[in-house]
Amino acid sequence: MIPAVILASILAPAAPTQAELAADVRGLLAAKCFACHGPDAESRKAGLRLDTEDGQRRAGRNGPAVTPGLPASSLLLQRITHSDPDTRMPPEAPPLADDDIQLLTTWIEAGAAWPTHWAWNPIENPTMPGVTRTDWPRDPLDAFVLGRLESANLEPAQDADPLPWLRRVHFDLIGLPPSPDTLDTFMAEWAIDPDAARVKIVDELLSSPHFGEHWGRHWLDLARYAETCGHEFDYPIPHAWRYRNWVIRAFNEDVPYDRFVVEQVAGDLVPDPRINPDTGLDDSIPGTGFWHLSQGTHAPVDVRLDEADRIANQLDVFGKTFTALTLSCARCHDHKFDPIPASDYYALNGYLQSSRRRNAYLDPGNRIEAGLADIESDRRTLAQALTQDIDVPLEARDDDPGLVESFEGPIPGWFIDGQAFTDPIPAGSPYLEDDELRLAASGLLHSGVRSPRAQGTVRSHSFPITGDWLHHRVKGRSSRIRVIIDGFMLNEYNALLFEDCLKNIDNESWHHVAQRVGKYRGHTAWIEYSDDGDGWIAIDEVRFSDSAEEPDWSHGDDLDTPAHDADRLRSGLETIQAAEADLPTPVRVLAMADGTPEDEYVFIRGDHDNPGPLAPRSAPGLLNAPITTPESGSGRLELAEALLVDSNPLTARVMANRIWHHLMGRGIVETVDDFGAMGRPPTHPLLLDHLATRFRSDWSVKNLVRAIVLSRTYAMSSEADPAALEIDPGNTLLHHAPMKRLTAESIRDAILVSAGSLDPAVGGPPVATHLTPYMTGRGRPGSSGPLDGDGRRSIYLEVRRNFLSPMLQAFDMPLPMETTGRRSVSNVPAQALILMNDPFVQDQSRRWADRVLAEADPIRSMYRSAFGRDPLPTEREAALAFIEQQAATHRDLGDEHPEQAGWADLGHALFNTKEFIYLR
Amino acid sequence: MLTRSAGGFGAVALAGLFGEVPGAIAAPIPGATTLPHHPARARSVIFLYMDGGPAQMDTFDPKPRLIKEHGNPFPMTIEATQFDNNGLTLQSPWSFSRHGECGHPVSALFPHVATCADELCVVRSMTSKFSEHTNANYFLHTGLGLAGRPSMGAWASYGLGSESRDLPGFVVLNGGLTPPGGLDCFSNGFLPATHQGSVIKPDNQGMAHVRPLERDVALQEQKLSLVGQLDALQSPDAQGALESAIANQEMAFRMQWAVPELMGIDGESKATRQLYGLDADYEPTKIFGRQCLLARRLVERGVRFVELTCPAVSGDRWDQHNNLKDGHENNARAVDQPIAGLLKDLRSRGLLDETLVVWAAEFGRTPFAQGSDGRDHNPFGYTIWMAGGGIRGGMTYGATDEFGYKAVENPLEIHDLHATMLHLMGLDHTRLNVTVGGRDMRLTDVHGHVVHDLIT
Repeated sequence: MIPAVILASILAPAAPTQAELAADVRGLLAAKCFACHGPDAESRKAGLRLDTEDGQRRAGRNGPAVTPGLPASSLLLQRITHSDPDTRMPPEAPPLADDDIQLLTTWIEAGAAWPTHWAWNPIENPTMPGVTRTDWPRDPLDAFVLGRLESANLEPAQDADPLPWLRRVHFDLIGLPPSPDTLDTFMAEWAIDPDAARVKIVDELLSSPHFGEHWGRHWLDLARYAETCGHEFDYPIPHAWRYRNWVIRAFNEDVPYDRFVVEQVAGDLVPDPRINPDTGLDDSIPGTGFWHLSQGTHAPVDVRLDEADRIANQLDVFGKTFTALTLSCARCHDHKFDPIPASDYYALNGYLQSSRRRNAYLDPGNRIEAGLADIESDRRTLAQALTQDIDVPLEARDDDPGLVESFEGPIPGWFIDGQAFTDPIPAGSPYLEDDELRLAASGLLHSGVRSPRAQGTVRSHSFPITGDWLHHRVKGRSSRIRVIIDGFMLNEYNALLFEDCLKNIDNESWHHVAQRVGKYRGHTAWIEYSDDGDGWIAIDEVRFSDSAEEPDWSHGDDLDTPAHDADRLRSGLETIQAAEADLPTPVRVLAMADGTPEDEYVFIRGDHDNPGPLAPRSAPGLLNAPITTPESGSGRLELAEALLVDSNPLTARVMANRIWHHLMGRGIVETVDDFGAMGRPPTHPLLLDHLATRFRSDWSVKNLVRAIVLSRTYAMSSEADPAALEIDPGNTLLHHAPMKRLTAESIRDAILVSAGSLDPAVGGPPVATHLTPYMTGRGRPGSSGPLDGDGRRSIYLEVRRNFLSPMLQAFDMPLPMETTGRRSVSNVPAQALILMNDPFVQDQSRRWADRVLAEADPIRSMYRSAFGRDPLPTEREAALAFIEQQAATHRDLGDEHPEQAGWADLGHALFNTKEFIYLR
Repeated sequence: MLTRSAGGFGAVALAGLFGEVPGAIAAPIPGATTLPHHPARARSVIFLYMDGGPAQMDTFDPKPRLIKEHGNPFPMTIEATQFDNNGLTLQSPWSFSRHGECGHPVSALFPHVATCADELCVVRSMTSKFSEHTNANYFLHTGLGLAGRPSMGAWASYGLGSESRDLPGFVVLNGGLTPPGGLDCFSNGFLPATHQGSVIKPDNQGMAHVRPLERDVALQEQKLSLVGQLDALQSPDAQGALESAIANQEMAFRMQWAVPELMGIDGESKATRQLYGLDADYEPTKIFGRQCLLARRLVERGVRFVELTCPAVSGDRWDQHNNLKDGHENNARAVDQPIAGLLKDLRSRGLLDETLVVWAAEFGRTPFAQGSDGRDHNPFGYTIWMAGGGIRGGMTYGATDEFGYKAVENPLEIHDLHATMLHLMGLDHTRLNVTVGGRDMRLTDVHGHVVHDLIT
């Protein structure tokens, strides 16, 4: 890309503005100088700081680095142009290019203005620029584009022809080609009223359920969406696909973007959760799956480092996705380019330290809770009708350092999840366990007292490991105990180094379970008791000791059950069990929950073994968003809200820019995930703020998409005026529409559409990965999924980190490791090899032939579905001659259906044309 | 510009990328107008990846102290290990003898490689940062312990392109074992997909998607001819992306013939085939022999970076957590003769001086037992060796302590290995970078020093 300043000097006699100069200088200094002369005090050399005006102008030993108006006396220029390589800056690097030196000279001559970095400024609502061609703009945004073109003496390209526009808008909005029927309707309506025809199509596409699939896929690139953990064995991330479907639904329903953000950060904490009208399920909680889609190492030798790495990825994704800030650059030191101190990074760490991963139990239509309310009361009433509470004197132990919990009363600080757990049963109370009457000898936590059918998990507060062994006095069926150390959960699949952390409980008498945890003494842990089926678990006491031996518990077994009326028990239970049979099963979703509030320390140089000062939870100062942290709870909801306050300009700008990027092929800020000093300055800053202002007025993604695709700018032809190309070859000023290649998913989906094989179903679990002999490695699934992915859209194909689809990868589906707001658009032989030789493509070609041969004009049908237009006479002739030639060859080879094979070959050839995968 | 000067495949493939929107690449090599940065010593690299981690004290770094202390509690402080099942001090089951004029000590595991001792530069002080296979594999291959970054072969291909018109710049010869961490070890990461390691299976399957499915070549030719005709009708003066897409189709067509030609080793002499162990009794030796022979054929054809993964032997990769003796013997038997054959064949053809051969794993193994007869992972000091292209043969560099546990003299990091490899290929590791996510990214991150002592 040409820097704005140079472009401006080519295009217009007027000098670049101070702001444009400063933006380019900032980018240059960031790249070349900030590593030693930037915001990070620790690595700063010679006390010189070039990222602030004060630093630039402050006199050092040899004078100030920058003297406005006087390039020759500015040390900065003297040092970068010095003839002695040992003195010249930057050290041990090639000298700066002449253009760069010229840029700095011009900037200093012009006064070395150093306004705030553009991205940190508040969003202004700019006035629409005056334009000469007043008939051109169709939407206010067009005026901002035209204004820049006119000031550079450039003309916008002609309007695109209607059919290329139709194909473009289909792929851009729903990722699928227009249907042949749509072509006719649209052309007829366009002939009458082009504007109305366009509006009608756009509104249809925006209300299509496929809109959410296409735009949801864009979002999944940000969330590094995958369904396995990668690494050595590629263990699963259960329920990840529920997040994928949540994203699709959110785009389809046009959930306001501010809400969409809040639900991903803290959907579990919103006071007014959305309810899915179809399923009756909480539709805010699944958004928090966003946090948990990262890679995972089994058996980490340093579990604290593993946690720090996991959180670093979570914060990297969080920062880039919502604010285009590279927060994780501040993990080891203050950010080198942007004003993000390491203490801001560790302040964010605390939100994740105070939160926990879980598979939540969603209750369809609240039917489980409603049913359980009666069942629980019936069980309690029945138990109490059969016997009476007795008074159990409890011995209080004065000094009991090993005790974690004995459940003698309510358990503040513990976290109940799902429907099974409730307050502990007090000592001396009768209770029903399955169909037996029991009498508690001491306080118990019991997941079966509401109903054995109920499911749930209870989590302890976080505590430091203070003994070699953790002991539980429990009984249960089909349930389990887990100790989670430093948030590490992958021992679910591979117990190495965490052998004792997970214990299955299948013994309905009170017994002792010991977990050896001494290796992790001093680490932070919590305990989970889970009942994920029709069983139950009861816990009487938890304590530490330094020995494996059964500790001296405070209490004995259940008291003897008093004599009672067995018939009454049986008949009472019959009614209860009939009601229990009707209880629905909870739907499990990958989600976040609050844990024990905890602030993190700044890790000196990123080393978790070297904690510095405490960094209380807060939003990065750069967001300019005051925040309060609640006494209890993680504070994630407040963090989410900080992303959306008016004084924080980033959230709205970043998303408006992403939408523009997807529709126009390049963001106004090209580096869509980095708005910092190392990112690119906006090509159209006023347009960006105009769009951000509109976006923030209603936070409607669909409204902004609609405005852009109905604009004159979007409707330009991709044919560039050669004269304009001469002046602005990179199309920075948008004098024509870009020619775009289809995304990997759209290429595969369009093949399915042409062949008539697409299953248009929306949502559902993933389709198993199709495995080729070249997809090797540990964790390879035992069997392959279908070659054609059951005809489902590509977004529904399973995403296994270690077994990614070769076809989608070749066409630049990103590796799901980090946030990728801007995909590569590569152009490599592997793409041609796949379109030529992949069995999927050839198989679909045959199906396509079978489909069209039943139609009156097969060639026309093929052209209309593949390219959204009718064939030219020359194309028709070429196709017919080709079919004849192929059929003859097939016949010579003894093929029984040479004609049909010839038609399949035509389909295959059409899939291989450039027109199939490019949008004009 | 890089692409214009690279020549061959790289130039064609990359030419189309500029001016478009590769996620990472706006201006690929700031300040550099031509590559290589300096004259190359090695035209190609053959990377012999020893999956799992051979034990340094059982291969090229003899430790007499272990014999003396065998069976005693290990006297040094033991760092956390992967299996946390640390036993007593364990001597090597193999004897060492000196070889070549240089007198390199080599254990009985490598009788054939020992005959090439004077070619080897043995580095006994390599270190890694990770005790887990997967992190250590990503680190060895990409310079970062997490998935997602470009592999070293991708960087070499990106920096230099391929000299072959119809083969990619980075090829992985997969002997059967895929490293823990999977194919991401060979990823192009944020570099263009062209630089991804293309996996070739040494059996007759070759490379994915290079085999036409048509029953006759004419059928495919006619198809592509129609495609060309239709493309020309729609875009008579195809430029930019379209132009390179068309060029790629032509190259893809050629690759369909180049790969089978590469795989056709029947024309190799009987002596050559024997040299590589293709007539061996042990099946894994034959597989690895075929990989080594294909590696030579690939570098002859100008492929920039060839990585070999190990064949599966009975037992496990070089990852002997137990039964060290059998496991290491099987793994050594699979690779020993083929590696010696490769070194000798390259030497006799005059190719060794321009081909850098690297023998390395993600880490070494502990000098104390895991259980009674295994060794656990050890990233604190281990042995790799290099030979050929600019490397000082016959020398030993660095040392571990007297137990072979930790590097104590001239310790090296993986970053230093990467910097040195790139240097030998004519690339300055500090200047081979791209801007991603607000940072200049390079193979060596902010680390790495060229180890000039290893270079002639």
